[in-house]
Amino acid sequence: MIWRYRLTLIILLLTFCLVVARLFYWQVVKASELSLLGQSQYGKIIKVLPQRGEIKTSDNFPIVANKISYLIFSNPKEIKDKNKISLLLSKILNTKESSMSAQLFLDRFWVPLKTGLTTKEKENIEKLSLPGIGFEKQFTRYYPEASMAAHLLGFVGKDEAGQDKGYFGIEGYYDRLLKGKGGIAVQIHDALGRPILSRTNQNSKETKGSNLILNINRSIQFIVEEKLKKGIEQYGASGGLVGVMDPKTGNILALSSFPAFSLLDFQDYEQRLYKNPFISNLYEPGSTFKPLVMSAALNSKLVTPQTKCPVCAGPISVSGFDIRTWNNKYFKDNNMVGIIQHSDNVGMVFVAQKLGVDKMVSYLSAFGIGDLTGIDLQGEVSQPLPPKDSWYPVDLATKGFGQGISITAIELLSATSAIANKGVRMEPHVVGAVEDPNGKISKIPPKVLGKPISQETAKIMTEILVNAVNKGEASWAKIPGYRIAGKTGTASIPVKGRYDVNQTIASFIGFAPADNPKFVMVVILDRPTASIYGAETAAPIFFDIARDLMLYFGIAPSE
Amino acid sequence: MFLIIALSLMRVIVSNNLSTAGITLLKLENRLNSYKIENTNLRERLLNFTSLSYISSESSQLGFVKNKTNFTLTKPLPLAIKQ
Repeated sequence: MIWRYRLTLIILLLTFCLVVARLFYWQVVKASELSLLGQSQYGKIIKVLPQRGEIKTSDNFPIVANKISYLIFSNPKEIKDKNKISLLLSKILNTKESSMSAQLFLDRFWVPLKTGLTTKEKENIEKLSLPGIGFEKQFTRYYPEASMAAHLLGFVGKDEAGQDKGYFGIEGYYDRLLKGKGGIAVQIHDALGRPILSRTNQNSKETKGSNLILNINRSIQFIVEEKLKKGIEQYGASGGLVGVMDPKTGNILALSSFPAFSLLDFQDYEQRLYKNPFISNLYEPGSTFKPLVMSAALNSKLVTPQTKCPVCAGPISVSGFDIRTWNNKYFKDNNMVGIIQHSDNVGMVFVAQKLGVDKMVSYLSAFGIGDLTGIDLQGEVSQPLPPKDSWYPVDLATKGFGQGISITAIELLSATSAIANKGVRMEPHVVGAVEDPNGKISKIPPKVLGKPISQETAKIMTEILVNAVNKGEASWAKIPGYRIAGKTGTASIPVKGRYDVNQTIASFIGFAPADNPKFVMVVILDRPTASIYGAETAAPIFFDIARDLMLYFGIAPSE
Repeated sequence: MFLIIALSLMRVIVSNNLSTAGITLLKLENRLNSYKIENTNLRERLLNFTSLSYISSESSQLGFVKNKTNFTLTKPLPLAIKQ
């Protein structure tokens, strides 16, 4: 009898082991697979679309925000009277009936019909209770200040996979921070399809992108854009740029360029307009480059402000090339102050020759010329300085007055800011802080790029530039009572290897107040027709903006 | 024994209530969503009204003109004291 009991026990134990093994297989080995299968039966997976981070100006105003819009889609298999519905929808959505009809006759379960519908439009269509028509909530970019700072901001387009992607400017540079992470939520329902629980597995905070707080001052940007537009029109220029920077921190306060594009309808504009000319276009700076070369010579103690120019009595010949002043006027024994005041090309040839190639290259590199400034915008370019052994004497001479060298406007702004900031060059920066989805703000600290000149040299150069404003060609436009340091520039445009004297880049760079600068600003006009000279076109725009900025900053006249 | 019966009954009651809570939750979520949408739309309008381009165009329509004179009551301190 005992063997029977034992046999039964063994059978029971084996059966128990089998059950345990099977349970282990389903509950451990196949657990995740079954869980997914279960979810697909009782739940519906909902894609949580990422909400892109906002871009705010320094006053916390969202210059780029998100608004809710809707994608209208259809399930053609559920629509019986396709002709009637395509006619109805084409009228409401303001699209061609033929294209709407073509979409509805597709043999698919899901066909997108139109994006960017407003809440009101969506509600109007919903009232019609059309079969096979649905909506998907989306976030699209919204620009409360319309196309202000279009080049600076960039835009959001689609990538190869149809996902939102930032292009150009801040949208392009900070795309990874701005774009949220797409999430998934599961809507659980019962056997009849009624929802049991609202949602599970959702973490909406993870899906949102970070906000960016810019150093851009909305009021200054607005002033700059208004004045620049007016100036371009007034002087018949084909375009123009203005950049305003705080020399002490490198914060970009305003950056504007025209012609620009509409941020909402960017696809309707030529692609060449997407590039920000302030950081992507190279140009010959002309006389606005002279303060950099003069600072280098002063800092090297090769000249002093009182050093007389022994070759300034007439044109100078370098390697067979005759170099003249811009107005063919010559000042015998002109000193360094006079050379900058009269924007004397011959005098600058003397300074450049004193400096020599080695020191010229070394100082220009320290000023950041020929290198990227590191500004946090997509699309910055630079043209490296030629190697020292490939500099001919005429190259040294012409580069001394800003010809034969190509730089970007941001390079010039960044280099000149060193003169305004006691010889210290700061990295230009557009974004001041990043606000993560939890509301934590991380500030981006100012970064020192180097000290190309001493504080003493910067002070001397500032006085030379104040003198240039007070007594130079642009003195008629200056603001009475304020000490402003600045320099005009008129550079001929090289066309097919020759300089076209009638087509110029007119510019003015300066900073104010000279003793404690609040801003350094550059104004550049492309091919002005009312006058080809910087002193008659770019300079008045500079002073017009500076006047408003003095009021804005509450700076009282000092003289 | 009494405790087991009481707890079982309570479970039945709670389960019964929870089984229909999903619909209520969905209604609440829909209300929340509609408020969120309304909030976003109102914020959009607010941003429109507070944009400088709107204020500028409205002010010029209302006849406001720009102050072109710079009048100051105080002078900056001398440079030596400033440093």
